Amino acid sequence: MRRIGRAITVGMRRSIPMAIAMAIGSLMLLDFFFDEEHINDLGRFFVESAVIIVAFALLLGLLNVMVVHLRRIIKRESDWFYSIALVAMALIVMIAGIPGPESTAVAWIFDHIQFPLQAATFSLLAFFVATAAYRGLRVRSLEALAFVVTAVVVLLGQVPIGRYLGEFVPAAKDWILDVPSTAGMRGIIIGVALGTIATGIRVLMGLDRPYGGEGNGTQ
Amino acid sequence: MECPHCGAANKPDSLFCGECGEFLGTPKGITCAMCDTPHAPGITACTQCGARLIPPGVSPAELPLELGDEAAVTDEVEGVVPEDAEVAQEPGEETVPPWLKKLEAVPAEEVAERGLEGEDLERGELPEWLEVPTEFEDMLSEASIAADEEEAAPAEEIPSWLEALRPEELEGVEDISAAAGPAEATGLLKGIRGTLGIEPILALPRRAVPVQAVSPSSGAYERAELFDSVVREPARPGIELAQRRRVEKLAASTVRWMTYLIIAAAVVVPLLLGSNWSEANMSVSAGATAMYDTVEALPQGALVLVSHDYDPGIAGEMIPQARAVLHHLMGRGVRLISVSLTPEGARLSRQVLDEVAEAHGYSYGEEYLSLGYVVAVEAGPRSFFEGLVTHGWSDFVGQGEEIALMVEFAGAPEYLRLWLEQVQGPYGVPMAAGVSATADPFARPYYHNEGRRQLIGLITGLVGAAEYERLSGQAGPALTAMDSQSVVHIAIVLLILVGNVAYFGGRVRGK
Repeated sequence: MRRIGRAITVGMRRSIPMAIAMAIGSLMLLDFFFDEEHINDLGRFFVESAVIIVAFALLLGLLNVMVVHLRRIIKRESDWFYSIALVAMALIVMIAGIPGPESTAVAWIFDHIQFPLQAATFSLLAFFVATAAYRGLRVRSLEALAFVVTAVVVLLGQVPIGRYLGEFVPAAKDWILDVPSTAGMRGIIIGVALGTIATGIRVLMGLDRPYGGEGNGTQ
Repeated sequence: MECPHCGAANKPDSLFCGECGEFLGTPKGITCAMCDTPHAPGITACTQCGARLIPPGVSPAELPLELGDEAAVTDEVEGVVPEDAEVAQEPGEETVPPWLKKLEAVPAEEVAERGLEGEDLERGELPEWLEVPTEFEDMLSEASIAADEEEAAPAEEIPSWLEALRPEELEGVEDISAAAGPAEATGLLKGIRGTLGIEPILALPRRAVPVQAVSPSSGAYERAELFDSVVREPARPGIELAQRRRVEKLAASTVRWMTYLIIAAAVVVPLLLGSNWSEANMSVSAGATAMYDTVEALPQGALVLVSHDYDPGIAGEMIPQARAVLHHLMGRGVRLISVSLTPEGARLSRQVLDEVAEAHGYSYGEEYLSLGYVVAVEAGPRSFFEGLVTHGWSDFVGQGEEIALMVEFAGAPEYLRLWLEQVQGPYGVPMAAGVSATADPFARPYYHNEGRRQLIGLITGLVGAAEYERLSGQAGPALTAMDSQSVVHIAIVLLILVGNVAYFGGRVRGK
């Protein structure tokens, strides 16, 4: 009797999430393709529900981060002092944000800490790109020659000074970006779209189950 | 043959006793009681551990196996058997000792009676059948007397040939029997020496003899110098290699820092000079022109949705775009709703909106709104736009009012994809985009889609912002930065050329 009950529990644990996913997925597809009032209302309800669930997921993620780093601090794991900085800053920003997301304290933290740090970090990319261009863009083969010529043409054609080298340079830059580059990117986009369709069908058929907490999410 | 342990009769040539399972030894020999090594007949001491195999004074009839004449001789050589020990020279016909015979002759009823009688014995007292037979008592007493006499007797004279073999440490020992170890005090081996003999010292380490200093000959000295030079020779290229590596490392570091300095100078110097040369020579792309024309065609009071989806890292090229387009939009007198798919974008866009709105006399809540962060998953833009067009907001958006244009500022391709897939496609909203330079290849297919024109206009990076400033006639930070960007691009192209010259120069030199 206990075995039967356990089998029913396991079966329900697998089949109920699958049934929910298949039903709601099919409903959203119908909502997308058909203009029927009740279906559209149901689809709108589920879309809004997803936004609310994501908001709670963000809160859950914040709690998880805090728990993980508090545990590291308590157990004195490696680099635990960085966890102190993380937890302290999270608490400071949360307390500063109690009056609202546009409070003076939050704005000051953003303008004077977060913005300069992120901007400075990204600005270093220019120096690394320049060094990489010097060391990496070497004509070692015909493919490398094509790569280097393309890089030079786009670099010169992208800025106003490229026009002084002739109208050929901006035109060549436009052709490179509009034809070969767009063609390659379009192929990638179409491939991703086909993959997304295949994944959606597998989820709707219950072949892929990225839910239910069974580890790898597939069966 | 009989088992020496339990006395049971076994077949001749048996290796183990059929009654008790004990090893019977070789058919014609005896097994050492100490180490279980089988021995041939005639051996009285174990060849492995030195233990005596038969007690002194045992008659041949009492031995379980036959003994040869060599037994007595061997005992004398080993010096463990007293001279008067009676060792049988001739093997007896009886192979079973009498005391064992006596045990076998006891009937079962008598054994049972003795067992009952044994219960009445006092603790520690042996039963009668376990007591030593009288034959053994005589034998043991004789062995004990012999051992005592041996201890008291003076050492025998050792022959000269044996004396020559004596180890150095034993030279001062007169009593050779003492060297064999103490005699056994109890048991069947009482009075016997050498059952656990002392290991003799065979050799001692010799003391080191001081070696006299020898002056090398001239030939040996030359050979030593030659060997030294041969040993040292491989180290010379190593030093050169290390020096060369240090030089290469220094050169690489110098090149790296020179590159950094060149880029920094290319950015800073044009900004300091402030030539604004690019402002007069700026060309405008078709995407920027299309975007400008779309905004220009908007009627006054039209509703425009603007999404600022970037973070501070990419804000250097996105904020000039947003500022240029917002200037144009507010110059057209449209109403603006601003959202962001990034938390940082909400704050950054609000700053730009307030700045531009102040310049155009816009008031917040009446002509423009900033609705902040929208979650960056598929449901976020979809839900937001669904609520906007379905229900409307009575204080800003009338129900059923259409969005005239959506302008997306995307720092990364995924934000543009979300708006295109969830809003532009399903609802057919006219959409233009300003993207970062890294997102440009992803956005171009949507702009060049002649069938649906998913993107009406497209501007890219800081250059796109400068193009839009040039079109709208409002010079801003993007046009000012074009001089720096031009010089930096030229510097990078020169670095590529120099790097290739160095590469081919190295190949020509054969490196």
